Amino acid sequence: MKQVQRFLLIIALLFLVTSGIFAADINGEVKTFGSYTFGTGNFEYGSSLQLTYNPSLSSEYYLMVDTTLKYQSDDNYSPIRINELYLQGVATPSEDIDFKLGYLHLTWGASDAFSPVDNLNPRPFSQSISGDALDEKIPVLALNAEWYMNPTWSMEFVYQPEFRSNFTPDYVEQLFFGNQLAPLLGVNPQIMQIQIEKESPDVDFAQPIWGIRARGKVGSIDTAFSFLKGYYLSAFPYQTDITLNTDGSSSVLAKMGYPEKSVLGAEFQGEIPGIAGVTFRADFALFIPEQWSNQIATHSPDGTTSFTTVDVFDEMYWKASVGADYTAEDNTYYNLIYLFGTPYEEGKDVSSYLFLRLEKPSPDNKWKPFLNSILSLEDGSMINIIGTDYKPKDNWTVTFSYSVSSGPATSMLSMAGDTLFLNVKHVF
Amino acid sequence: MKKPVIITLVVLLMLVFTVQAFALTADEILDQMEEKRAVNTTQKSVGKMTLSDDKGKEEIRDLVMYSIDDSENPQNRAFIFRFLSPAEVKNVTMLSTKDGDEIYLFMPAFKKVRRIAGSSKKEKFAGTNFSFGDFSGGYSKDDYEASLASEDDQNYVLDLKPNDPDTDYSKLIMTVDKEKFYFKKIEFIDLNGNHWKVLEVQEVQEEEDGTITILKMTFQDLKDNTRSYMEMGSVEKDIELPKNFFSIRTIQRPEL
Repeated sequence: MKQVQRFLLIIALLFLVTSGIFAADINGEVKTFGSYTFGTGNFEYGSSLQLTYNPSLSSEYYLMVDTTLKYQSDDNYSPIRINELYLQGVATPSEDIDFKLGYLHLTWGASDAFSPVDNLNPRPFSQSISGDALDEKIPVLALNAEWYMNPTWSMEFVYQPEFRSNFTPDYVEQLFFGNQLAPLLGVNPQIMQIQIEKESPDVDFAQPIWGIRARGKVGSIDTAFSFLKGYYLSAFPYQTDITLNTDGSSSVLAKMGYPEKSVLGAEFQGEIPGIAGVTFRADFALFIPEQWSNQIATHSPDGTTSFTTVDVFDEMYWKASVGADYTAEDNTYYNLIYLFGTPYEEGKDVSSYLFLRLEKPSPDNKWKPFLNSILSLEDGSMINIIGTDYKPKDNWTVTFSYSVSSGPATSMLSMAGDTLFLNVKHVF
Repeated sequence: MKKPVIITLVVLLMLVFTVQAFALTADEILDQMEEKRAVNTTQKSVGKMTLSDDKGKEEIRDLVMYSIDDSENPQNRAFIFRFLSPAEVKNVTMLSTKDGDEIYLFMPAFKKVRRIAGSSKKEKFAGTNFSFGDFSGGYSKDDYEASLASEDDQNYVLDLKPNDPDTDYSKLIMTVDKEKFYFKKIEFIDLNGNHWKVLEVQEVQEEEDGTITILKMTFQDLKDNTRSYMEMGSVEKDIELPKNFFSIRTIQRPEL
């Protein structure tokens, strides 16, 4: 009860603060949301206030301050977040160069969802596949400079002297790791006690994460080619110590790290010749990981110890997102994407999915019913989200949706469960 | 008595021929309109767009628009259109290049530029009654099969049949001012022959060189009963713009 009271108090405060900000040169949004998952009976809720201040310091320099104050009942990685904080230079230090320096959101890729070349920013954990959830990122300290070499081509450079990883709650990490180990050891993941220790890579000014990206046109196709030298943003085990107990339970101590990777990317967007009105967007990424294996020591109740080595990364692999979108005469929007790999799959785990988004705005644009579906072509599991956006008045949006998942109990998509979701957003 | 009759006949015949000699064809009217366009110029317009829904409720959006018009090479025609307010659409920016063949949309929330193609040009732009194509399109005789439907003392009325097979319109009925050669009104007829949209020009400004600048216009959707009214507060011509201004680089800038 106390938690609900605190939640209501925060909402009231957010709306109060918002009303005082209208006069200032600050934009933002205030949002409140809630979801109820059937089966587990899990009720999650929260609210947030986002403020953006983007003044010009001169004709060439701009400041961007984008922060969020967020209360969330579960899995909140930080109540106070800096979304972006940077200095932007336009046509400076030379007329052909633009740059940003600070905490940035960097978006690569032409694809509308799950672009495999969009690897620069880590992400907070979310079970949702809503647009808002997919767009959420954790900023990275970086310099991003783009040199416009000629009217057709530009070269972008990213220098990142700090490593930040994805935010995944401990219980989720333990759940995934337990499910990976269970079939290997023939033990029940429900009665595993898992402890994870993580080690971050040595990234600093002398050993930065860096990337380059050439953007331009080949014929009438917008094209980009990129190279990124960095690290996986999720941790992978390199040493696992398992103790099997006589009662069938087990305790696991895992040491994890972030393998180094190089990513070659290619992006394309344009029209398909002969098919009027269809825009295609395609991203391809070739991942070249460092050799990475997990040394597993298993201590049996009889006192014996066995050793196993599991290769996590032993060869290069690729991921892709290839899609097309089309708006029909009645304004219905269709977006179909073939995915080879999601942000949660790497190496041998990469598999195929189909992602579909349909939208049908009402003539006055007040209602926008939608359908989001993702189907695993590997195991047939899927999530279907049916819902609608409603705009009762200017700058207000209410989103109501119902998500249904299906498939084998062990599949990642079926774990999402069946969920009701409500979101109220006011932009100012 | 015969002589005056013959003279009258000759005069009448001469009048008929003279009128025919000065009558303009539909293509010539479109050419004259092209000449009245501010060609080979850059332009910056700052104004407001008022959107009215079917219940008459209004929403006002501030906007800025840059354009370049090249009569010798229409492929060089381009414009940038940005909403300045309200917050929901602030800095949503559209770039049209190559005379509308390539359209890009920058939405600040997504932090990337999105290509818009084909029938997406029919999509309504950011909640207005204007489609991407409506913004990008001119009314050149190359794009339409034009015929003169009627005329009176003040106006020509043209029937324009689009050459584009992917168009949403079977016909446009265009009312052209006889004196200044600008369109006062365009009625858009859908593929079933019904009136769909009406574009009406309320105020123009005639420049010293005779070119016409539209200052106020209304775009009405008769099916939805919604209306978008655009009013330009200031129009600057022949402004100096940096090289490659009409590019995806520009539309990502925080200020234009």
